[in-house]
Amino acid sequence: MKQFLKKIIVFSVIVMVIFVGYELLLLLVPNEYSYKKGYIDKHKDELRILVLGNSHLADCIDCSLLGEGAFNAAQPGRSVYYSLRLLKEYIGQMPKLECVVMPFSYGYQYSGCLHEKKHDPKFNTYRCMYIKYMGYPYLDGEWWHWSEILNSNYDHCGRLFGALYKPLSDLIICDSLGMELDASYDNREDDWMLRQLPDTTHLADSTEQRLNYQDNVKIYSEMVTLARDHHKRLIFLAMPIYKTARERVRQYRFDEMNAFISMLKRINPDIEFYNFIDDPRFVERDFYNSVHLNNTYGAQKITPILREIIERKR
Amino acid sequence: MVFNSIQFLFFLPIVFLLYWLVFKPVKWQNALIVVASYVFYGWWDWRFLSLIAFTSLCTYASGVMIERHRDKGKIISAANIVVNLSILGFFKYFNFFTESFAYAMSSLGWHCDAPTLNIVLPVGISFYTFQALSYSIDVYRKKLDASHSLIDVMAFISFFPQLVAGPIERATKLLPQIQQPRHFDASEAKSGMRQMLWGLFKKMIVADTCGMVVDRLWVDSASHTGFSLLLGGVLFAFQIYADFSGYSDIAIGCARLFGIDLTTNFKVPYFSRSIREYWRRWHITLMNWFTEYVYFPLGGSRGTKAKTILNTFIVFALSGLWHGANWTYVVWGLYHATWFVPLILLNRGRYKGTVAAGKKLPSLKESGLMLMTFAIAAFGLIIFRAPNMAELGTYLSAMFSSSLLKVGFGHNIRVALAYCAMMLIVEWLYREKRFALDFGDSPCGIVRYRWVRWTIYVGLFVFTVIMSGLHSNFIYFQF
Repeated sequence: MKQFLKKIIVFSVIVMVIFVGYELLLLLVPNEYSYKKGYIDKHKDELRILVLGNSHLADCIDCSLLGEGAFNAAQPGRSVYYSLRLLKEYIGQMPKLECVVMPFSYGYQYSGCLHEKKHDPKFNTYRCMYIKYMGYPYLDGEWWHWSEILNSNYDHCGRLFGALYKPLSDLIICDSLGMELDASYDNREDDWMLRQLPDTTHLADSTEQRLNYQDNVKIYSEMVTLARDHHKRLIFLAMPIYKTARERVRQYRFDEMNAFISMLKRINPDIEFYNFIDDPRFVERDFYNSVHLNNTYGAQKITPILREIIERKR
Repeated sequence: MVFNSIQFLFFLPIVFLLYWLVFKPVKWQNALIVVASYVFYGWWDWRFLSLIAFTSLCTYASGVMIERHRDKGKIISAANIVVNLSILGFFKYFNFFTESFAYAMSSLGWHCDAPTLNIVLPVGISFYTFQALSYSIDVYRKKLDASHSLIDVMAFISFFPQLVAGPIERATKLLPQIQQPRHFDASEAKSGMRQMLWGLFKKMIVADTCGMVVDRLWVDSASHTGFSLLLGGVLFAFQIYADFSGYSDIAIGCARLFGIDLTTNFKVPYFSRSIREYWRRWHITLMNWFTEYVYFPLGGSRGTKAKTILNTFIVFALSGLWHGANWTYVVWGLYHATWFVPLILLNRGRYKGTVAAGKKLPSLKESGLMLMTFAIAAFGLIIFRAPNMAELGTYLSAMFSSSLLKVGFGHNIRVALAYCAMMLIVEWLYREKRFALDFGDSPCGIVRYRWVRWTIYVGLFVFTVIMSGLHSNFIYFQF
């Protein structure tokens, strides 16, 4: 028995040393999370426009078209919880900040990886990356959520080995102002118009999503209050969707979206909401999939519109 | 709790140390098995523990009563079967039968609303129910003395390594082991660890990688090329094998740490030369159960040819239905019976030993037979994987379309095939052993060096954990 236990201990020690070394080495390899956090830390005195939210903005807001002092800090899959965390941390430290841009669309009030998908690898990945590289633990953060080996599905192995032969800057999949690089016109799949189609069922049918709703009310309310108290413009954008997605969304979901915005406006009447869901200016080639614009043509179209909105009230 | 979870990483060493160092007398060890098993199961949903406890209690009581009232043994045993099958039927088949009944009525022109209930299927219910049934039947058949210890019966039914997905142990094999004092055997424990390691690799690397590709193909099968769907069928065959045999390897390896020998559940089934041989190597414990408790009581192959055919079809249909309340499982069972029956009638395809025993490579004929058997099994598994008959039709019509010849391998498919090849090569090399990595007490070849063996252990474990990423459940949990 002693001999057996000794062997198990030796094996465990070797494996633990390898795992800890691997996790620490990963910290040395840059990625979009560490890059965006680092950029904000470095440029917080100069930033005028801060884009937050998820892939709907991360993929297609080209901050080079928004003028000086704009940065796209949105991250694919980011729950509004993390956007709030980031805003809370920096809003008082950004003297030049004029406006914050956030996505908001049908169903947002029910989603956001809060109660749903806790066992979804994507959720685990985001949670891990936000803790490890941005320092934002999730509500019920546990120590092992820090480990990419145990939680992340974000090709950590490819990143680590990529660092051996690629320039480190090539490992960051966003441009210098934060727009994600993967969602290009050339990268879209043959069946792009069928990808990520919205659910046809009512999201509020699930218990998890009803719980999400309650949390989202609190988080969005806190966000609009924060903007109000710091006298910053908060712009919500409902991004365009392709007709394959549009035909699956029933009117009542838009009504719910508008009702939610009205509720937020009661807290902060100055928040702005622009709805591009049915905007005819966006055509087939502007999309990456059914619900995302691409960073090639879509970004060239939506970003100047956003710039016009921002400048209109300046 | 699942084997590939962080909780299990802490749970197993704690139970192991308590078992061998603290709870030394066998009755205390059995009590620990029961507590550990209930914690293991309750981690998923503690409410269903009462179901296992109830099953155990009924089974224990039936055994004692059969022994006391031999003249009423048949009735008591039948009552236990009815109770356990009723629980299983309610949780697993209630909606299936009511919906099927309503559908049959409506096709006859009578409108009928099926009452459906939102029933959660308790994990592993099919496995432990069958194990419980084997106990009372074997006591009735006098193959086994009834146990007078409730703890022993509870440990037999809920033994955590095999509680949720088998192997389905016969009472005659497992219960005596539970009743006997057990002594720690370091060489068995080491071998058990190796078996668990190999099982983890199969599950976390091969099965999960194949699963990612297969799931995507099934989401919208009509939009994929026939060739991709064909590869999807092949990959699902490897996924389910790696998943289930991986679970079995972990379960058997884990049991060996506790001095208990479970029955081998898979013996390299994809190296079979006929469907008949395949069924001697695939989910062995389930087929043994059906053979012993259904096929033989029905008369087996002792009657006329027509009776043999009928019995074979019944057993395969039931084994299909055992997997779940879906017609696809029944069709899958009947599909196999269709291939199986001619071999019985012609008395062909009954291979005893392992293919190419003592040789490095199989002959051309053996290779052809193995390939054909694999193709038959893989096609059957497409039926098995289909969520329903309509989607099966969509998948098959898209697969057998002109795009079947449009050869193309996406990145994920190439990675999945590489892992499958890795698994097959190692399993081929160790096909005559109990499991791959079964180096034995005196290893030969390159693995005779300790540093080589340790490199394999550490390398395989690190590779498995780092590359796995997904932490999905085992497929057979749903059955």
